[in-house]
Amino acid sequence: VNFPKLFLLAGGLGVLLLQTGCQTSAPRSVSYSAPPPELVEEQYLFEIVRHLYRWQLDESEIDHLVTGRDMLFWVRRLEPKLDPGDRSILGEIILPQLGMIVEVKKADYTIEELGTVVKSQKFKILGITRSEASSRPPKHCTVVHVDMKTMRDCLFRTRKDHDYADPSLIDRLRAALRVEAAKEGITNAPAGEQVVHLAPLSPVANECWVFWETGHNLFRFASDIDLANPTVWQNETLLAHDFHLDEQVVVSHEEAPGSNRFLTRYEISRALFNCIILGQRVVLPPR
Amino acid sequence: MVASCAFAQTDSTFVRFDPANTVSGYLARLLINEVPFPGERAYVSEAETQGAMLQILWVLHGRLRLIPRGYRQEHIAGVRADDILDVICGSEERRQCEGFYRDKSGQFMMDLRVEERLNYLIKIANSGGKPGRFARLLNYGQDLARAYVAEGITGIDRYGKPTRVGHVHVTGRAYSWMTDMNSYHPGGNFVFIPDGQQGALGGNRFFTLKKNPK
Repeated sequence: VNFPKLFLLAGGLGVLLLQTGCQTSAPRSVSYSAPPPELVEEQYLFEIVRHLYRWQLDESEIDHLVTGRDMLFWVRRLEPKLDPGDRSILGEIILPQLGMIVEVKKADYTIEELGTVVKSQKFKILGITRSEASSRPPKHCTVVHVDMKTMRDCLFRTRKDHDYADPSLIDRLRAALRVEAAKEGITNAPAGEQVVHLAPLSPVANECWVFWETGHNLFRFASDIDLANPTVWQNETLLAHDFHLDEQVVVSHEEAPGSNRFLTRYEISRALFNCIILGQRVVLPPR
Repeated sequence: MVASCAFAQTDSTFVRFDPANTVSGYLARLLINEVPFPGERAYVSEAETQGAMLQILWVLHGRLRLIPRGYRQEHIAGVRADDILDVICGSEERRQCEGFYRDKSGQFMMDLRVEERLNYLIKIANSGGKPGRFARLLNYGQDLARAYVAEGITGIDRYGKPTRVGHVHVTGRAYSWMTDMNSYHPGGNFVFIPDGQQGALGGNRFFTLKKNPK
């Protein structure tokens, strides 16, 4: 079957445009400018560091970091070419002392097919990169200094804060977890109630990690749409990613180089600490 | 883990996928599975999601046909293979792409959630009065796979040229990708391609190889 021809006949000239140039891939063009004020607010940067402290940083990095007098942030706006009508704003927060780059996004666009408006109230983390730090801030960066003692005290003081999901979000998570667990065949496992552990939420990360005790599964719910928005849960299929802890954990990626299937025991340990020790135990009663 | 056996061709108004038991159908599902769509985490733009699909195809092709000097295919792909489907699946013990594998009888399989997400994306693509971003992205992935099977790879490999990453001499081309969660690293001789060299694309991080393997 010559699909392109059939499709053209069926769909007309408009569809022809879909087929053209499909294999070219222009380099990502990004320009930069000064950051929006929200991104350089001290409180916002504190929340970014708290998130890193909880999910990324290890002992040696904290030890290294706190030797400085100030904590430095180089912040700028990223301006990649977005889709027509997309008013999202992206930014970059560079932490030179840690060699980390945090890319953030304040989404503002519409999914035409669903009539869904994707609009974030705050900048949320899009990705975190470790990279060799340059000695000077890149162009267009605003440099922010935060007193290290203040930062260190804040991290220590808030290290066991829970930031639990609100009851309505927990209800939605319960429903989504039942669906996900059914897909994995977990709900047919031991009869009786199911216990899950929800990791604390961060105001700067639009994701929720959940450990499912019975199934030894770790679920990650993440989206471009705020998880607090009920709409996002109508598209639960696009939200969830699961990790089978009995199968997908290695001590080192050297055990299976090149595979994108595995997480390290260290990564899993951190997620389990956040879910079980800092998180919220939620019971799903038997149906 | 639940394996999908739904090998029927998926037809719809704006999107048409080849059956999952064909090379082009299986490859298209892998390309679609690895990239974000509007509303999903890490979505930036249609162009970026398309670019990521093409680069993933370049990785698979590189593992199949463009093994750099000093390496053997199994160092990079985890398997000796002369077929792109084997490159996708890897070995039974060390699968290469999460959700894609051969079953004990040798059939190419996918996790149920791969097919479920695809069906959901197709449903969205068909829910407007005209083809939109979802349809364009799905068709792009399928066309890319179909063209690869028919003619081989075309299109620009944005990682084809680099010879250095920082102080490290590299082979050029990407030979691995991982979901961009920072803590991921594929091990071996893979070298992280930084943002300055467009190493993050469509929710994924791409990796090249050290010029001189350890």
